[in-house]
Amino acid sequence: MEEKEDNQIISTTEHLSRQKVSRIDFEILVNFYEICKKKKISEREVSFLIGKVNKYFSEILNPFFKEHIKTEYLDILPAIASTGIRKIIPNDISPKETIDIRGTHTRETDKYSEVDYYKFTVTYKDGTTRNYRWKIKITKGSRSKVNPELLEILKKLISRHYFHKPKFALNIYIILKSRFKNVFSPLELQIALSKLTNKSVDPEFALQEGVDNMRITYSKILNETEKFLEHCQDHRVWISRYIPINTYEGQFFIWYEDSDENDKLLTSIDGNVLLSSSIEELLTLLKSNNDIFKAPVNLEAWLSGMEDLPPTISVTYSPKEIIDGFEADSVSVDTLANFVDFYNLVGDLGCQDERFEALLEFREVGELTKVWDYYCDNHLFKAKEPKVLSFHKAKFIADFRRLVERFEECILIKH
Amino acid sequence: MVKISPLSLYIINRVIYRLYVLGILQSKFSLILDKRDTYVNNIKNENMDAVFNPIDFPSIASALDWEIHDLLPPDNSPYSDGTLVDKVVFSLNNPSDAEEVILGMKDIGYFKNEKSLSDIFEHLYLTENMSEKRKVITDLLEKLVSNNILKLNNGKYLA
Repeated sequence: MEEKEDNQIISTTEHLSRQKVSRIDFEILVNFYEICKKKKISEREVSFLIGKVNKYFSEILNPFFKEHIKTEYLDILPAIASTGIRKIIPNDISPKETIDIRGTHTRETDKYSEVDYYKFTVTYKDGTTRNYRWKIKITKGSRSKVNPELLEILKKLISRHYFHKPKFALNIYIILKSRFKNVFSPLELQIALSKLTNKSVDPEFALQEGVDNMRITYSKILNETEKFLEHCQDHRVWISRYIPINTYEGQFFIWYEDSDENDKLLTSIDGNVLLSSSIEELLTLLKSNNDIFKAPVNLEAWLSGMEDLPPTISVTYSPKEIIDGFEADSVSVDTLANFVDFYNLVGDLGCQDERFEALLEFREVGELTKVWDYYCDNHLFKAKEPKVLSFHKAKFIADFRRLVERFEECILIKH
Repeated sequence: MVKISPLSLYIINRVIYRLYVLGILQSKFSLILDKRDTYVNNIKNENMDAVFNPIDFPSIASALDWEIHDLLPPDNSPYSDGTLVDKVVFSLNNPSDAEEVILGMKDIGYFKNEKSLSDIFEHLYLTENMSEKRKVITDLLEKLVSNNILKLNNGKYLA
């Protein structure tokens, strides 16, 4: 060991060796590491994408140490290095083949960094050898500047409920890569995520770290209402509110995904949509049942699993608000989205029972489908060439009113 | 049923497929790998999270007369993000898995000489109490004959 006071570098060197190391384990590690180096993915970034602490991969790389890549993580190496599994797992290894490793490990540390130099020779079973020189540098306490563009994208994902379920760093990285090509590095993602998991962040965008299958996950810290809505999402049962066109008093109902995977409105045995004037009344009705309706498969689990969470509406349908929005000079995206929600709701009811089928005819009229198509093409699926919304407003409103009138007749709202 | 990584599941299913094609008994294969005779059976068990370890890939490939890469998915396979999947193991109860096996047997020349139904059952180690799997194979052979993939001569199958 030598110590240089002038530049405060502390250097230690050890001569080390390992015998009878599994060649396939070693070569999987080497192949993967060399691909990562070629693609400029650092050891820290690999650790982050596996879902581990920064030093995890550097420690595995120590050729004199027993660690190797765990079998359960082999699966994610291709995604991390953007390569195929056959480029990582070698093809020409004999059964039980082992190698010997002999060389030196030098560690240099100073105030700013820690550098590991591994100089070693691998001896194969036929006596041939190959030399390796690896340098692994870890920078200490470096300042991390957050990429503002990436932070905004993550906030958007948070507000779109992407983080309501825990996500691995690799999940997020794959999504970013597919949508933004290679604009953001894993390191930038790690820095942006650590900003969002910091306690000082706006609670609306606060993420928390968790662990799943020994890998770090990121998820939104949900408030009670969000937890309830997530509970609904998990059970595919939601509370919705319908505000009839001529009143301000909402009617509450259950919208659910049936075992045939179709979305439906909960109806009584006699076929009428079950409506209540309050959430409490609706829940009481559901809990008592009394053979009034045929319960959806998940209803009981949904009711018993909500515990003390505050029951909350997922969607409010208000045709009057939609009409007001379309009568304005320029139609907002929110108005379009509200219209599409209502249009889909009518479609669900029209398809679930023959007695409501006639609704579909009122739905499939020129101006209504034109606006629906426009919204789906431009806002849901992002057409390559955005179209301009062009429709006959007065005719649209008249058609929409007819649809609403018919819908309200079907769900027995009196005019 | 436990969950395991898609890659581990792929490799298990490739091995089971190949064992059927070559007509190697699972317990015998375990011994070839220098393991206990229950080794492959445990790995096949959908309620156990046992999987093949990379350290054994060379021995497994060699015993199956394959290269290591034959155990792996092709390089253009979609990337996995590490989400685990249900351990649904390759089974002759499943007609599409059974078809893959019979076609694999045809590819290695098993049907070059005429084979009776009982020859085929014996090759696949389908004992009399495995009536469900036997029925899947019988129905499948009928289908392959009607599609001219196999021929039937005096109750014997031929490619």
